[in-house]
Amino acid sequence: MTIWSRLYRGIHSIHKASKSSASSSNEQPPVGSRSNHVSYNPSLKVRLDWIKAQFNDCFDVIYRQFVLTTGHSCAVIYIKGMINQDTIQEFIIKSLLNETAGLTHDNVYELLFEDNSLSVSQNQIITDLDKGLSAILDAGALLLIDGDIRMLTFAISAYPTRSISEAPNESVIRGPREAFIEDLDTNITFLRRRIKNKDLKIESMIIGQKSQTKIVLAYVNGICKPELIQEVKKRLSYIEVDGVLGTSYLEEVIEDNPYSPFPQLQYTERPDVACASMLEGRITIFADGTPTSLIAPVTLPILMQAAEDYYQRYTAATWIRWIRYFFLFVSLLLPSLYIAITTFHPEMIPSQLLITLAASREVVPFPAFLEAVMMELAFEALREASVRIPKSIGQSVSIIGALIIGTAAVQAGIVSAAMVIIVSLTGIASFIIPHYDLGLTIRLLRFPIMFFASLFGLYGVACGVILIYIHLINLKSFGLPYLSPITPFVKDEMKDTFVRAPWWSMLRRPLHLTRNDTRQKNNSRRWSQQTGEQE
Amino acid sequence: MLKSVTSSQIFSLFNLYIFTTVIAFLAGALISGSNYSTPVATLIGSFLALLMMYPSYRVGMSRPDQFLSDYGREIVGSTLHTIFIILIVIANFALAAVNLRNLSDFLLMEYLVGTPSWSVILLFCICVAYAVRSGLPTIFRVAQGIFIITAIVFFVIPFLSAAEIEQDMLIALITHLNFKHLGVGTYITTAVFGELAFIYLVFPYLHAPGKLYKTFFTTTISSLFLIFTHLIPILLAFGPDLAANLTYPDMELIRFIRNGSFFETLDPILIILWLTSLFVKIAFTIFIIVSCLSQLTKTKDHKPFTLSVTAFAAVLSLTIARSQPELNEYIMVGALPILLITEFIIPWIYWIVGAFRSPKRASNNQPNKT
Repeated sequence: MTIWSRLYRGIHSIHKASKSSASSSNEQPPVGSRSNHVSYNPSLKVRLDWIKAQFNDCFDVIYRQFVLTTGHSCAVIYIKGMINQDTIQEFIIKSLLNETAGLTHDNVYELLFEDNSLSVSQNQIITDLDKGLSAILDAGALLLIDGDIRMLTFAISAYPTRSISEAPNESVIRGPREAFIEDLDTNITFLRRRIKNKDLKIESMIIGQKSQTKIVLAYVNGICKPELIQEVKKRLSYIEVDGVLGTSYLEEVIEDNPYSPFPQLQYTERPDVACASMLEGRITIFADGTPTSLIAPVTLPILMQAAEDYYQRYTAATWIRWIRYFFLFVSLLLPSLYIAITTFHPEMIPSQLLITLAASREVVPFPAFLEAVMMELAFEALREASVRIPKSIGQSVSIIGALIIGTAAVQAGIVSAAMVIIVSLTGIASFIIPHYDLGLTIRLLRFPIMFFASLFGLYGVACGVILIYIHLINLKSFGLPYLSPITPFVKDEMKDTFVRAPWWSMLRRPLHLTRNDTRQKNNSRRWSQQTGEQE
Repeated sequence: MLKSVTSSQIFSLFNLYIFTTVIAFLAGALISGSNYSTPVATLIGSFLALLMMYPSYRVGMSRPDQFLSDYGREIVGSTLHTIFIILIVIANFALAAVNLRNLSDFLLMEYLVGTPSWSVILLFCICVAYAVRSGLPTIFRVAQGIFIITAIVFFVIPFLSAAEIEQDMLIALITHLNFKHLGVGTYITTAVFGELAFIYLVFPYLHAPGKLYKTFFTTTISSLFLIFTHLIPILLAFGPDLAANLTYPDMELIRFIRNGSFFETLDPILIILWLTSLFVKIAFTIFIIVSCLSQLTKTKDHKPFTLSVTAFAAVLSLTIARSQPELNEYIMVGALPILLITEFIIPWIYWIVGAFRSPKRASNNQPNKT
């Protein structure tokens, strides 16, 4: 064969292929698609072979082939365990066989792709095989029919999910108890059930080149600042990782200062907290497969609020909030203050107490700093062990660690009784902080301050606190100062910072979070002014 | 970050700036010079400073969106302007060094005996450098955050020592007024209150520059109030002679407090309060130096100067004087005169020359009608 005849045959075959594909579908072939050359081949065998090649060594992918009474070969492809096989059998295969009985050859395509008369309603017509693969991987089923490049995808996922349970890490006494689960659709339903408004917007995107994780942004349009939505989307769009297996993967990438020990996004497993945040103008981020959502932006005062604050009476909630702030400082500073005062400023301690402390420290061979570090490390180890070990023996380990080792260490003269009290109190204080990540940060920062205290006394403690304070002032979460509304000071926001004002007095939303600040048009207790029942 | 410093932040920073210095380190010197006339001298000095600061406010307001270091040469000429800015830098170096030295002397004498002074200053300068590097709005926000707590504690402390005060001596504040004594106190307080004037160098950072003079006034009143709540009890508790011979009379006053059996003494708490207030003061002073130097050398960012300037101030503080009396001598003879020149005389020159040149420039810009 001459070179000219080869060239002619090549051009002729290209022309023929383009003609046939144009006649079979009006849709333009997607440019650059990997499956481009196969997608526009109406042969079932060619496309099925291509799909099988893609899912090579995937034993869980099921290929159900059958022939209609009209003589058309069909195939349904899905992943075992991710969809309901009865639905496939009853509502796709059986339905198709029944519906097509007695039809002519061409009417089958009309029935499938134009009349859309199959019993499964959630279907979509596609022509791109890559999209077909994505549908299969996303717990769907793909139906191919010989002689037509069009395919049907069915969203009939029915994989097992965890049942809805109580929020294990954010428990409350009076509020709602249900928590998010790993299933994204269920989580979105939680939001929709609480905010029944068209302004609740749910936008989705796919992140993770291999994991293809669905990420959802939820916000209330008109309350959330548009620039915040854009900023969140922009930061998420830069993520190019192979897999997103939890929201924490996103958190570290989109936060403002990646080197700060402080959390710059809030996480929650409670739908009511997510909804309350959105009603304040914040944005919630979900990732498929994670029961915790991220909320942006966040400030330190927000991290010190607990869901319970809004379900208890405001007086009790305010009191608890004060306690929380006090113990935040206790958790950060108590061991350092103990080291500083006993080492550098014993004149501050009343003589009676000083004698008691001196007597208890008399047998201890270590300086206060070393003693504190040893005890703190032991406490951290106990805490970590109690989280990691099976729950059935966790309690025993805690009792052995806290009581037996603690008592033995004091009796052996390794640590003083006062230090055990200090470390225990500090440990309890760190659990009072509502946000777990913030508690971790405080636990971590305790050590450098203890070091400063051992070298410079109260002066060292003050310098350590100043350094942390400057860092907090510089820190921002999506442009919002981390210490707002304390500094920069916003007087009106004090109603929900150090105190929790009654609901009827909180007429406005936090101004540093939203521009649409009207929460209540009027005081909800104005009835009492009319009837005089206020007193 | 420009236009982000609010009036309340200015109020907070300058209150801390003034009352800490006067109460912590200058009370002895003030009482030594003015005896029972100290409160009146402080009152006169503060209002005199307020009056003399007006030109600096006017200079800043003439171009609130520009730094004086940039446009000053258009007013007084390049050479004179450069000399003035260098003088301001020197004055602020002196101020920062004196404050750092006061702090380290106080700590080493009372609480950290035997600790090397360089280590105390190093730790403090790390904090200062971090704040200065973060920028002026950060320094002001730091002040805003700590102001309320500091002011409350400073207000409450004298009342705890009420039992030690000889209230019968109160009449002496009026009967023992002496015009000769008023001079020293007025001289010191005018210089200290006049330090507010340095804000004319950073006008573009201010959110509402038009309200600045009003803020100066409220700051003067509130800091005077807090100063009086300490100065008067010191005078009444110790009398002028003893108070004048105490290095830190306010700390001695606090040591008088016997608050049941919970705390034996509260004076180490004072370290923290003085420290935080001094921190914002020194950070502001260092920022002024860094800002002037960056504009003088036409460097876009102030950050490259931060570490070197802070280090220089630290070294200066260690070498500025060998003892406390030498430091006091340095303050009275060296630091205060240069402060008075840079706080008041230089802004006056800019203001007067600017006022003369403005009509001239306006007439030059008018179209020729003939």
